Amino acid sequence: MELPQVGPHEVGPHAGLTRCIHLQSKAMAVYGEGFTADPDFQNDLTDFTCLKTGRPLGPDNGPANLTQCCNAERDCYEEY
Amino acid sequence: MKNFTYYQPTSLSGVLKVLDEAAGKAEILAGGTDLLDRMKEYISQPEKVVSLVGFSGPFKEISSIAGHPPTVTIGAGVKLVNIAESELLRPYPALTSAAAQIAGPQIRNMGTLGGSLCQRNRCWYFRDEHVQCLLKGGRRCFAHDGENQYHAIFTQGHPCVIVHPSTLAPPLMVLGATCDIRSHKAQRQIPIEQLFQAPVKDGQREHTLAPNELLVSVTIAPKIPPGATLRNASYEVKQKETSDWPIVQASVAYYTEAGGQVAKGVRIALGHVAPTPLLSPAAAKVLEGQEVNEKTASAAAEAAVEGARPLSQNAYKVQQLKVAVRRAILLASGAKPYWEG
Ligand SMILES: Cc1cc2nc3c(=O)[nH]c(=O)nc-3n(C[C@H](O)[C@H](O)[C@H](O)COP(=O)(O)OP(=O)(O)OC[C@H]3O[C@@H](n4cnc5c(N)ncnc54)[C@H](O)[C@@H]3O)c2cc1C
Repeated sequence: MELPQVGPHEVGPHAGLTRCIHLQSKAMAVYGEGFTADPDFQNDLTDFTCLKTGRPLGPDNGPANLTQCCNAERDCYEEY
Repeated sequence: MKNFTYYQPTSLSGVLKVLDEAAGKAEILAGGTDLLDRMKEYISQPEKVVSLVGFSGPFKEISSIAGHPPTVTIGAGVKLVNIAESELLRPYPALTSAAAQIAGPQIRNMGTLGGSLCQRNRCWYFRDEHVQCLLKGGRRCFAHDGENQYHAIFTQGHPCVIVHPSTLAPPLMVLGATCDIRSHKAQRQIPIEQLFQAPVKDGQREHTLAPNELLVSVTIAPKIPPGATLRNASYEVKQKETSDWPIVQASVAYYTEAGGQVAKGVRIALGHVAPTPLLSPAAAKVLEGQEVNEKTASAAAEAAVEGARPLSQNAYKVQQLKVAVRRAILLASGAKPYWEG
């Protein structure tokens, strides 16, 4: 499916926040910063993965998702 | 799906009254992620379905996380995503990391604590409408001689070799949780390990609640002396990292006293290896009073698999369980995690 390209974090509650460089999802892998146009993302259905652990948990054992991985206070956070 | 009567009481007492009158012919509906599947597949055919939706909002006892660590109460209606992301539960990564790994976002946004603890098992013979296994009035457990790669490895004395499906149960067990259970006329508190049983026939569930009882909340209250530090973690070995149950799981909790490195009050629980989540006193004993390192963690892991009797296709789970126990212990200790080389 052809997705419209939008800039980084232009939609949703995370707009303007910088995420951790290790956060990944399928839509990010395919569409890059256009991932916010992915219908799954827009419906809060994205399965995120931490690239460091390969799991839905970060190295600190906390959840890997866009809300939690924009939190620069997490020990494992590395700016994108 | 068989026809049923739908109830949506607006109070806790309303739920308990319907359950009491239904005399075992009702199912509680929380997020519905397990129950609706079963109803569609004709595995469960309740005459009455009692929804918790109507009262989950205003009734804090079932829908909130409250307290002050180390004592925190989680309502049975709290969503899995809210357990995973709770600030109040941050001292309990054994529990929050387990919640964060359940299924995918859809299930975590709908599924609840009560539903996770009271869900039915995932044995494919049980879940197949056409198979009359022990738990559906049949005479045998087909997994014993059949396809049993995901089944129990602690099988001794178990005519049915399902594994308990809840990944929240082992962390709650190591964190010393108790359950608040209510019926129309009574209320009782039990340690969470007493919530589970190994079912052997039709009509029995994987939990010990009576048909007219509701799990209202679970309270975590790990026993640690003042000034001590609680350490806890869970580790799951999974075939795929999303949308599936783990193959094996281990949870561990212990405390260290100020300035000390020695593990005390050790509790280790094993998941997905027996019809109930299992506390492993043998593994805990090996770690008790020891400094946690690769050597002591491995020794505890060896002890955890003592007594395992795998089936024809699942001996591999014995090795995986050792890995899960060792990694859970090392994670709890704050040792460098395995993915950092
Ligand atoms: C693809 C997939 C992967 C999954 N992976 C995991 C996993 O890794 N770990 C895991 O633990 N779970 C896993 N699950 C199961 C999921 O956690 C459960 O479906 C969910 O927690 C059930 O919660 P619910 O609120 O939707 O329960 P419901 O479906 O509403 O209820 C489930 C059962 O519990 C009973 N019940 C619910 N609340 C109460 C209560 N308060 N008191 C008494 N009885 C109650 C109901 O009567 C019903 O029989 C997975 C599910 C799917 C679909």
